[in-house]
Amino acid sequence: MPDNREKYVSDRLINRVSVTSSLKSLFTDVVADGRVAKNDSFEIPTRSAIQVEQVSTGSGAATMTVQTNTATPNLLTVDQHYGAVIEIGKMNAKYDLAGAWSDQLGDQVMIEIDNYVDSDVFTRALLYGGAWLAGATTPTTWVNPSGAAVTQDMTEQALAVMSTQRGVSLEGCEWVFHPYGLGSIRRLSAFTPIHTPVAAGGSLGMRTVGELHGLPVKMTNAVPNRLSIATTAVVVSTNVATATVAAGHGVVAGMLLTSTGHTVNSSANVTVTSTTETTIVYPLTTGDATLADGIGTLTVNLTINGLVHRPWAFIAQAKVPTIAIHARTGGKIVDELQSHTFWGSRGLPGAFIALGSPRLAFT
Amino acid sequence: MPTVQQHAPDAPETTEPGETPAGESTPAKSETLLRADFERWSDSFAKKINGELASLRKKGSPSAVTAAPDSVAEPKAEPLTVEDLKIYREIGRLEESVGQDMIDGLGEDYAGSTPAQQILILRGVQVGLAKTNEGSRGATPVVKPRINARAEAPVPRDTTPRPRSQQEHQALRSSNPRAFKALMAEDNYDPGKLPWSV
Repeated sequence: MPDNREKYVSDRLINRVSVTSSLKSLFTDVVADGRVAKNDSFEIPTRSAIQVEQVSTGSGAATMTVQTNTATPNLLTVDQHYGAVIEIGKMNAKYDLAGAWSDQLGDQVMIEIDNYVDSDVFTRALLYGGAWLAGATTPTTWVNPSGAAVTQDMTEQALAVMSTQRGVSLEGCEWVFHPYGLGSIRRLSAFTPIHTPVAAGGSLGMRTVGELHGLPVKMTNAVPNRLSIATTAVVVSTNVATATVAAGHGVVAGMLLTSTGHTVNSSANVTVTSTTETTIVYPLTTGDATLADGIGTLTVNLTINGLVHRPWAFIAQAKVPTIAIHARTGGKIVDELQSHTFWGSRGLPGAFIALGSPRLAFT
Repeated sequence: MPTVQQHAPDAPETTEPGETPAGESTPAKSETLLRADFERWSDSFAKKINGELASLRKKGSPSAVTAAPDSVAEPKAEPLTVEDLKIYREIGRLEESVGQDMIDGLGEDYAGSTPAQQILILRGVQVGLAKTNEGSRGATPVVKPRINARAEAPVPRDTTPRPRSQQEHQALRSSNPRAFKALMAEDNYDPGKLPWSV
């Protein structure tokens, strides 16, 4: 027999998930029934180009060559498992389980876990998987990586870059903006606001706040306004530093960064000159050397808004976080509520065209 | 093996066609018609009365009106008077007005009372409800029973849709709030254990 508190909190979460729009709700969910376990993997489509060739000419049939259109598995793995343990008071039977207590606790769980999942899928699937094209020497899916004041040319460019990709359907595209990023585009003539934004889920979730170039604009604080990248080594040669970092950093040439934790740091913004899968190159005025303590942090102060092509962003998730309540032992007068969820996400290359804007500023 | 002797049933007294039973005279044709009319009227009246009695029996035994509280003998059924009918109609009207839930809440105090006492109890409840409504909703008038109004039927447990998924659970919340509430009150029901969809 379930703990009544468990089922009433679960009920609230089901209700919130049903009516709330969040960043991850823009993704294509590959698990219809929401039943996932850690390390489950699902095959998703690829965007590899298919070689098309001429089959015949006016003078007769031509020989077709079998191209390298071999099937390559593209897997989405459920590799994220996060949760929270909340201390709750023991309650007597008179407490209104269906009312304020379960509603508030359910909302708190929903807000924190949703925010965590949204931030993760933004960075992992959109920023890195969708916009950071591995091996690209120029940031073709980035507009305004330096975070200058947003102009209408920039938003036009983001839309044009997205639309230029074969297979993009504009009806599958939506803008996502940080609240400060939204402040940057309000002044643009291409932006049409909705003066009374409505979130279907009440006070929770992502809001539709207007249209930009005819496409819906969503506002969510899951959009990052700072990237912090840990370094494991830094080598300086002719005033150029090459920092070794983990894959999935999301930094592109043109971004402005500062460094901390090294023997020689750049406290003022410098412009990233190039990146690879595991390196970031930036100017650093000092003698040629391997910095003794290569362990430090590179910080990019930038708001990363952008345009999502929903059909190319995938997620596998447990729709509703699991709730379990356990009694604390040892004479404690409290119980603990555990809540956790599984998910994994991937964005295909080009699923996100990033649009930078100033951090915590509008211009 | 013992055999059971079969007895022929007693032969009924028969009357030859055209023969008149002893002690009866042949009625005149006009009398026959009148009698047929009377019997038709009598049948329809009997049906009407029986219908009334059937509905009244649901409210309580008519004999309880006059039976002594300590009487152990089988109460003798007495014919209903017009006054009895009026009393039971009034009880029915008041019961519909206050609602079945309220009547259930009155328990034995109500069920064991005489019809006259039941009317007093129901009128008291009705006044109480009217005051409550007035207090909570401002100038709400005394609730008058609607014609043909019936208390909301309880949701039979067997027909309550049991969600197979969390989506169906969510749908039930708005489509059938009473069933939803009843379901959540069940000890062995936990929506957190359902899949998101089926």
